[in-house]
Amino acid sequence: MNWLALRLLRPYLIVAAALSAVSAAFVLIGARVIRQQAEAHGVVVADYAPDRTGLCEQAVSCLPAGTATNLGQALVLVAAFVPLLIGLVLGVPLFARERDEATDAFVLTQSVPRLRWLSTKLGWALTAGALGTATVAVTFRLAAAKYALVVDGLGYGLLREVHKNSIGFMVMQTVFITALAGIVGLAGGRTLRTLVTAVVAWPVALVAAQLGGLLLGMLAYLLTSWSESLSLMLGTQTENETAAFAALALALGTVVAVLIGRRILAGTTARS
Amino acid sequence: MSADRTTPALEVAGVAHTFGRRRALDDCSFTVPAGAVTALVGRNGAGKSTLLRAAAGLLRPDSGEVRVFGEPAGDGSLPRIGYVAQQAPLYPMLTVAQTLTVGSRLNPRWDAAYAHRLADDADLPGAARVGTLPAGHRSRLALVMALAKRPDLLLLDEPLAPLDPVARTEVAGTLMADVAERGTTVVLSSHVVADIDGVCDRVVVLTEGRVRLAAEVEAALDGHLVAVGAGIEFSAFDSSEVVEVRAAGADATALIRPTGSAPSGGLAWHRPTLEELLLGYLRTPTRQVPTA
Repeated sequence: MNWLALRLLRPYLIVAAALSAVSAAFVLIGARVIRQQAEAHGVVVADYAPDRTGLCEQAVSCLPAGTATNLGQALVLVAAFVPLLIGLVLGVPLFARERDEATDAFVLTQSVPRLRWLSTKLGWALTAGALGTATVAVTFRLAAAKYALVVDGLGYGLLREVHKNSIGFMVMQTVFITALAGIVGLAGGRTLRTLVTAVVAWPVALVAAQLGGLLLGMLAYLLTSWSESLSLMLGTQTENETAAFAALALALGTVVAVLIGRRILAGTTARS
Repeated sequence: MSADRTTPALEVAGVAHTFGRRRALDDCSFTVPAGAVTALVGRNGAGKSTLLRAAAGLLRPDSGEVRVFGEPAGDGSLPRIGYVAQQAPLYPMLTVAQTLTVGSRLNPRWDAAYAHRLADDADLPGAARVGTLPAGHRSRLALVMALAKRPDLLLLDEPLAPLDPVARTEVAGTLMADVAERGTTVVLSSHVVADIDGVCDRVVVLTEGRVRLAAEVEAALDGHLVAVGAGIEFSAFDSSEVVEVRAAGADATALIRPTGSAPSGGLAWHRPTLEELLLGYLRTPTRQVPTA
């Protein structure tokens, strides 16, 4: 089943890997150009400093106008949308295409348990998505997040909430979207409908992750109230910690999506 | 051969299923004994494919039960069934050789030598991508995949439809050889009477999702008569005996399932052909189910 799953995923794995590699390369090159231009203009952008302390005012780009600012904005767009794109590339065709072409009738009548088809394909897609986005996210966080932070202005502040400058949050976005699109495709087939549903669900998932993260953070704070140091830490969360809880909410969402997928498969096909 | 001859290969009991507001199957019940070659006959949309999908465990019916060799259709029965869906869906990006390899990896009872022999007999080029094969070749490959699993029950959804006349004969020969050699039970759907005449020993007729007739072919033919005569003379029959009446002027032709003695009077009658029998049932609305 592994060979078949990987063979079927091959074109999408290639596209996702290429997207990941090109994005990571763009982030590295972009960050280098920004650094050179900033130095040329005497702008010192410190290592990642979430509060922009002493750098420049809110809603103003601290980077030199022109290429540096444009590149900074492009880096923000990469961080915000590449996790979604990788998730869509891997998740949308995962089961929807099989349903469209009725090849599920072939694979589901071979002598292997049907849930293995679901878990193997989903497992490889989630792993590949996580690795692809992790490559971009790690590159972005190490090389470009400090520049993305000082690129402010209309919209870009909001986009920061989409990637949160967090490796974990970006990776979990891909994982969740892959699982969600896969399960939507499994439920209804039809690739285009799956794509539209996944895209529409994305902002909803981000808001839910935000709220879920807050709830989880609050729950962690309450559960650690016996420890003064722990509750103090969780009661005053940093941006990274908030992003970690939001990523955890997305991870829970992924688990729920996979469980729903198992129920769909068990519900539409006969059980032994 | 691993099939237990005393347990029916397929038991369909009170199966009903709807798609939205359309009732695809309505209280279907019949059994297929092990080793039988059964034709599932019905018009387009009669529910043949739905019934075969339920037997293959691809669809859970709204109500009723489908058992394969005594086990509920599902994961447990997968190694014992070979299923070819309509249009023989296979992965178009794989080559024929890769498709056979997939079969060997996913089926512990896979007979690689048999698969290659069948593929060679069908002139399937190993290096060709499945997506580039003509429909007939794709259908042959799907049949190879089902047969090389060495199943005890073969479920074939209109397997002969895309084949040319020569290929039809070859496929029918392959199926019959497998039945003779291993006692494989075959259930094949079709709406072409010529495809099943002489091949099947049992027949199940579906109309509008209901089983109209489920019987051995010879018993069904013996139990029916085609009567020709003045239309008025058919009034002597009980309405439950008359399967179909077709009038042509003052005369009429009727398919009758007499419950008593043979008809007399001015009627000319003969034993129906399989085509007359099946068309008689297929042309008329749903009635009670005669089984034999």
